[in-house]
This record gives sequence, structure tokens and C-alpha cells, in this order.
Amino acid sequence: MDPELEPPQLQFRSAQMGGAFDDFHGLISPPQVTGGSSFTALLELAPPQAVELLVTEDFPAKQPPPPPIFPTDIGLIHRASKFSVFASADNSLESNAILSVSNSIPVKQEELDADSRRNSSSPAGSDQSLKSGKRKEREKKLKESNKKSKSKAANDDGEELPYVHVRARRGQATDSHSLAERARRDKINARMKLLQELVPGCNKVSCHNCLLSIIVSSMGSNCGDYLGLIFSGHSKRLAPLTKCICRCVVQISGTAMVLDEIINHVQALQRQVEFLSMRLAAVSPGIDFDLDSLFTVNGSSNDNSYSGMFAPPICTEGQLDGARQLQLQQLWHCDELHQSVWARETDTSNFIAPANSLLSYDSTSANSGKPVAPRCTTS
Amino acid sequence: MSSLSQNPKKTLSFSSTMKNPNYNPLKKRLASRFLKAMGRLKCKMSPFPATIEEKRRRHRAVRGAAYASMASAVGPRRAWSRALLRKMKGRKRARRNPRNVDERFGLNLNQLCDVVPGGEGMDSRSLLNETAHYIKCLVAQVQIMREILHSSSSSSTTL
Repeated sequence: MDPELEPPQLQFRSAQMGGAFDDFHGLISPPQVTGGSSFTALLELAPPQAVELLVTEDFPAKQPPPPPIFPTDIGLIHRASKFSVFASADNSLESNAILSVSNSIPVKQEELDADSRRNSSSPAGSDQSLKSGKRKEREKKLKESNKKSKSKAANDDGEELPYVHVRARRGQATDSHSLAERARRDKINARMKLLQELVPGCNKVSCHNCLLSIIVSSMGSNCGDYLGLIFSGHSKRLAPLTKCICRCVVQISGTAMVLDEIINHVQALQRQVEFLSMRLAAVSPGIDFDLDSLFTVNGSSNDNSYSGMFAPPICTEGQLDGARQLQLQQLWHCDELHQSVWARETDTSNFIAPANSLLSYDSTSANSGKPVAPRCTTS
Repeated sequence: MSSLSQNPKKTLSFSSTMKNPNYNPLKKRLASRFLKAMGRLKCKMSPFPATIEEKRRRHRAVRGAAYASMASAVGPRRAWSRALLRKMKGRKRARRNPRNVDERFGLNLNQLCDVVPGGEGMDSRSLLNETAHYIKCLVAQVQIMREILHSSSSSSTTL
């Protein structure tokens, strides 16, 4: 989808949507009783560190060079064995192999409600509220890869049994492809390991669910932002990924919460219309509306409508970067605001670019000034 | 196109994605309509509202103009815009099916019906579609209004 995004990460992130949320959902549903935005509470300490983790591209460099020497954690070793066993498969199949791994993890099915059961177990991807065509493809891919990875696992089983020595390159050292692949895998596994240590309660589930949930939670403390994003992004480029995210959000936090967020979002927007109309009514005799029409037409509306629509819900939440200058020339470009939103959330400017790439925002102009309101209305 | 004949819901989404009747993107249409409406309002309004009641009336007028322009810009393609237009014209022909649209998700679709205009007589799937489009238009409208405010406040020296 997005060329900026590292392909394998995107691959496994998109591949894992296909099935294996049930275990994570089973994990989440007890803490949901605590209320509120449950998964953010669950991952509350994760976002800042995880963000740094995701962002810092020199992460493997920071780590000591042989990262995956799993010391004592048996569960960790088990997971690593699964990774190494299945990861001897092809490059392109790795994501699906990991998905098959996560599927093989025993699923806690007792607490799933009908929704998630339907979502998770319907093989054909029954017609839920979101289109499931993409899921069908993923399911098919998963089945193929299961066969392939199993056969390869049988082949490589002999050499992978001493899986503690992950870096023992027996029989693979000569192949440059596998070397590179192994390095990449090690990088990913190291990051996963750290993520799992950071995120409480994520130890029992597949790493990629954790990763995704971290991304989801760190993108916005509020589901509503995401939903505004999802609903606003009607463009085709964004549709698959937003659908994935939406599905993920629904699975993680349950449909009731999602609906609540939708309702809150709509109500917040209506409130905004109300306040803005009040302000406009107060100011309006002084406004020359024809002149405004000239401005708005001239202002090049490259439809960053997507990112533009993302802006207002964040605006109400509060403190924006008030230092932005009003620039009438670029009325519709919201990238600046966009970035300031993320900066507000995470306080790292590094996060902005990966965040954009992660969600494949179509931000054509990265640094155009958006007339951000120093929104100092106290209603 | 065969899809057009099959399913009215698909027709709606298809045409909205293709933006068939509207070459202009949504924002431009919303902006132009809203500005026209505000221009019309401005003629009627007195330059300095004396009483609070006048202010409130103006406020309501602006809000009504906002919603009306939004609905008319979208046109009758969407159920929520039709419902809004009906409300504006005063025909309270609201088909109030007390139908708990609880089929699929169960819980909060009733609240959603209340919030989104025209949410009464719809099943859950179309309700969510309408909500999505409604959110999109609301967001665009909010942005337009905000930008009008800012352009006016920046052009005038005093706020």
C-alpha cells in the first residue's frame, strides 16, 4: 500500500487481521469490566515507550547485537521456537506463517460473544458491516501458507530443534537471501520481545496483536478519532487498511464501545457546529461572504480531505499548538494540524512521520501550513 | 450498469464513491452553499443585535443555514439529508417506526438513531452507512465554518 512502510511489517500487520483476535479478545474481555477505554487502560504504559520503540529505526543497533538469546523465559523460548520453525519458510510466507502460529495458540473461546465468534470463525467472511472481501483473500492465503509452512517445518525440523541457538546458521549461511531474512526476522523478534515485556498482559497472545493494539492505542487515546478517520476515509487507498483497523478496534474493544464512540463523535461534531454557528452569528455582520468564496475556491483543495476531516475532532479536545499562523493560501491543507495532533499525543516529533507512514495517510504535502485555530473558545 | 439496478444501497454508495452528479468535491459544494446561505442571511440581519433574543434568533438562523446547506449540498441521495430537508421544509412526515434496530449489534443503535437525522426507519447496516457519510459531511462543514471565522478574524483587525 504505502511504499514508505516497510513491506514485511505491513504484511504481517495486515495478515494478522485475518483470524487471530479471539485469543486477544478473550484476554481483553475480563478487563473490560473495569470500564472506560479498556484497551487503552490495559496498555496504558505502553504507548510512550512503544512509540519510541516503533519509531527508532536504529532500534536493533541499540540492542546488543545478538538479541534473541532467550535467557530463561520458557514461554519466550516456546514462542521463539515457533518463530524460528515457521520462519524458515519463504519471505513472502512469513507473515502468514506467523499468523498460523497465532492461530495455533489455544484460543480462549469461553468469553466470546456472538459477534466476535461470528467475526472470527466465519471462514468465508460473512457479510458484516464492513466488506470482507479482503478478509477472504487473507483467509485463502492463510490456508495455503499453512500447508506450505507445515511442509517446510517438517523439513527444517531437524536443524531447528535446538532452538535456543537461534543464530546457529546451519545450512542457511550460504544463502544471502536467508541471511538477510534472518537478520530482519531477528530484528522483528527482538522488538516483539521488548513490546511484550512492556505491555502488561500481552504475554499470552501473539506479538502482532500487541503491536497492532499498541499502534491503535497510541494513535489516539480515543476510539472516536479513529472512527472519524475510518468513516471519513472513503478513498480507496485507505479503505483496506482502515477496514482492518476498524475490525481490529471492534474486536479489541467490543462493538458497544465502538458504537458509543461513534455516538460521541457525532454529538461532538454537532456541538461544534453549534458553537461555530454562534460565533459566526456574532461576527457575521462584518463578514464579506463573496470575498470568502474567492478565497476558498482559490485555496488549492487537494483533497487532503481525509486528513482534513480528521482534524476537527481533535480540535475540540483542546490544546492545539497555538503558534501556527493563519495562512489563507492553503486553507484545506491540514497536514500541519495533523502533525501537531500527533505531537500533542505523543510529544515526539519523530512519531509523526512513521505515524503517517503507518496509517498510509495520503499526505501529499508534508509541511504546508494549515490555518489552525488557536481555539480559545471557552463555551 | 447492473449494480445500479440490483440494490439501492449499492447505488447510493456507488454513486457517492464515484461522485457522479458532483464533479466538485464535497467541501467545495458545502462551502459555496453555506456562503450563499450566509450571504442571504446577512442581508436580513441587523448590523448590531440589541437584545439577547435577537442574538439567539441569529444563532439559530445560522445553525439552520449550516444544516440546510449541508443537506442541500449532499442532495437527496442520502437518507439523512432527505430527513434534514424534510425537517427544514417543515413537513414532519417522520415515519416513526419504533423499530429497535437491534438486529446486529444490539446496544446503542437507538441512540444513534436519535443523533443522526433520519435514523428511525433504517436497518443497522444502512444506518451505519448513513452515519459514516453524515460524519464526513459534518466534519467538512465544521472545517468550513472554522475557516470562514478565521479568515474573517484575520482580515479584520479587531475580533
